[in-house]
Amino acid sequence: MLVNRLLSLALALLVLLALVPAASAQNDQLTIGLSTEPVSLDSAKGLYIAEQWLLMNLYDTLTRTDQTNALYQGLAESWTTNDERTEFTFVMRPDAVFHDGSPVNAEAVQAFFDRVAAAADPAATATSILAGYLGSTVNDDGSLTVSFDAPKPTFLSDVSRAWMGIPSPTAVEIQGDAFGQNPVGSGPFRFVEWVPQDHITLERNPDYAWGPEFATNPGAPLLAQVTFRFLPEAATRLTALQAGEVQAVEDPPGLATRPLLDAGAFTLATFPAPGMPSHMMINTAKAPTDDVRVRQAMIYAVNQEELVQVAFAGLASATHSVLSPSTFGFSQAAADLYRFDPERAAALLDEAGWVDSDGDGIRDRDGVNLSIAYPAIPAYEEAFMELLAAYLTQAGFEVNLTTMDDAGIFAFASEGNHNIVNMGWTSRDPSVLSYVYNSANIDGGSAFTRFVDANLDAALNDAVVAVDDAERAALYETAQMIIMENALAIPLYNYDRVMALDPRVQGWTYDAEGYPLLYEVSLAD
Amino acid sequence: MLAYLRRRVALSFLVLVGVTLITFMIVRLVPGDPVVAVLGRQAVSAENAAALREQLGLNDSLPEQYTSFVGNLLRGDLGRSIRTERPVWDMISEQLPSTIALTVSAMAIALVAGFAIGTLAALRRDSWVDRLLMFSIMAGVSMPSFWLGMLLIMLLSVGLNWVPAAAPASDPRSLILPALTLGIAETAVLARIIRASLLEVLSQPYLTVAHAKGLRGRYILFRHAMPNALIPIISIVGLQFGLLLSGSVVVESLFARPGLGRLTVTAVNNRDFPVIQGIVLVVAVIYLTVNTLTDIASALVNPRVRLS
Repeated sequence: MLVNRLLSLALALLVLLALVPAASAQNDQLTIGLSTEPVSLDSAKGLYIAEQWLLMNLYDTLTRTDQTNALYQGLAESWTTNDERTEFTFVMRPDAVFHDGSPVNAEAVQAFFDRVAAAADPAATATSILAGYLGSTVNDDGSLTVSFDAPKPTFLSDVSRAWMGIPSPTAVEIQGDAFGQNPVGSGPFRFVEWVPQDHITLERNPDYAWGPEFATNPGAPLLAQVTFRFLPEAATRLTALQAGEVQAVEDPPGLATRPLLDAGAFTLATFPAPGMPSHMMINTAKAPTDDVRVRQAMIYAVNQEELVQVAFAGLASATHSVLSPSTFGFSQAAADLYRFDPERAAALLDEAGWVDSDGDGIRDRDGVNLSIAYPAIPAYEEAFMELLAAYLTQAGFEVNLTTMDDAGIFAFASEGNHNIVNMGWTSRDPSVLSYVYNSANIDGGSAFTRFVDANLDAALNDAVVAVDDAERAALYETAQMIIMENALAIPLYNYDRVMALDPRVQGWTYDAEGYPLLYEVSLAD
Repeated sequence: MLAYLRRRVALSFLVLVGVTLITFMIVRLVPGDPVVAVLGRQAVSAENAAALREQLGLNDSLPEQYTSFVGNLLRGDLGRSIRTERPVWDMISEQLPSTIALTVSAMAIALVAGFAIGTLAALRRDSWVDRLLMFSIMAGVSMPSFWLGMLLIMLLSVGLNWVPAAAPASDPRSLILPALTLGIAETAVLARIIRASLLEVLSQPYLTVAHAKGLRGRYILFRHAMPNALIPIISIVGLQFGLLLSGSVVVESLFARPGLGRLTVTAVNNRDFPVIQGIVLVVAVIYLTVNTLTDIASALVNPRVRLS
């Protein structure tokens, strides 16, 4: 009968499938599962996390920094700067060549800087690093002098970031608009192909001999090929790792990963990312969070140590300030101001006049509930948003949790409709504080606390141009203290770089921003 | 026939105009600024936002934006993505083959399995076989494809290691799990309709006559009953094609498979207007074409249907 025939056909198909060997990785080819896909591989246009993964392997930078942010030679073998830190001269190393064979020289760097400045692309990190660029000149001895209209105290470290990777000017000219899809640099890996929504493949640059001094492998990468797969679903990333289709995955789902880690199926490689950790910015211009006691009560009501265990199965670490501990200028004093204390929270709310007069579990005052608006983005906040709302509910708040996407939240928060909104920003420099805590960015920007304080603005403004490191650090410590004393933020957890690795992966080390140095990585048999 | 086709094309054109207008308005009425989506909430400063808005032509009035969109469309230009700055048609055309491969395989699975199950259930009407099959079908219809996909991954990839969970597109085995996931739900839909349609035909007097003439059961089924039971199926398959296209949104994301569905998700999240408009337009064209073809096919197999 027809049905029987079909059944046997299906069975035969399944048997055939079983005979096909499952994917087995060779030991010089690594596949990494990323959660997002890059938009462009042109360093002049880069902005997103996925791009940093690629850019740092395709390109080299003028200087290098290790995990402690100490400076090393890169494509430049030495440099000098004037006292004002407005002029920088780089002496290029003579031996570096691009993947297309053209030399890496001062002209190539100049072409890149000029292109970034001329494009003034607002959606590119390179544009903000080169802000105030006046121009650069190639000197007779082959060195390059770069000038700015204002002091750039962090420029030497900034040029070591992946966004400042130097592309081949010849290739930029040939490719034109398509350069972002066909990148050519001088980095440890060369570009092979990009199949959109599927993968990007890089191969070893066999001529690579200009790796950083701090690397244990100064020569060509140990891996012959690296493939980046784009696996947006966390569960899919984990199963791909389990099935051996990838050897490293970004942000594995905490709860599902924990038992597998405990069973030794994979290892975990974490790195505490510098910058602003994940925290809730509190709107100081909207009731009831316009009262500092209410804001303080919110901070005391949240148990960060418990939150990272419940929401992330301990794969993330708790934080208590608006800078993560690995960031330059981190203030321990500011981070010590608050710890979970529900009684303190209750006392502060009582003092502010918010009591539960009708016994419904929600505090009220003059017939008005202690109600707050919490717009959340599930893409970033799904793991903890309900739990955070529960902490606040326990303290007597009525939490109106609504979910939106990124653009929707920005519109909502820009109009000041929120009471709390999530924020966080990975950056090796604390200057990112200014984008969200400087009152100049209230209108049209991301200063969602709407908090205006001359001392805070002054500290943030002065720190950006302070040449002396001790002075810069002190200014940022002042800023953190003002932010936490005024209870502008509920700190939550650090943006730790969390990677689950196949146990065969060896030599996985991170750079200063929590991205692995892939030329150090190898696969055991 | 020609007159029918001419009218059909004219009507399709009107539908497409409506589609462009509605998508154009919907993507702009949804709260949220594409500028923010491009820059990220963090990197937005008033200065950056204004510069990008100007660059993207978002300062023009809505009628101006629509006129320029339609003008470009008539020249065959779908515009460029706000996020990647690549031509929208390039982005769509490189993803289209993958989605078509997925929907066609899913439809093939559904047709084969749906016919087998539907026929068996109809022939064994009201027996335990029929009840068991119809119960499984109910389960199949009710199961969200996201969950079904996860189950299949757990069973066939992680458990038995037969097929890859998320193989790169270049590996032909990457089609197996997504097509099964999408196909199983569709099987359930088709099997029910085939069963019902076949039952109706089987009760017709001309089949009693066929039996009375002493024809063999199989001959009656395939020669007399099936062709007539097929007629409503053809139009259903056309309609279900649209459902499969929308199902690809979930399935492609789950299996990390390239395709239009996943491109749509990314474009919507990024408020990438030109890409969203382009995808809706292309999908509308596919849908209209498939439905026109199924209408013609119904007319060919059923002389009672007149294309006029």
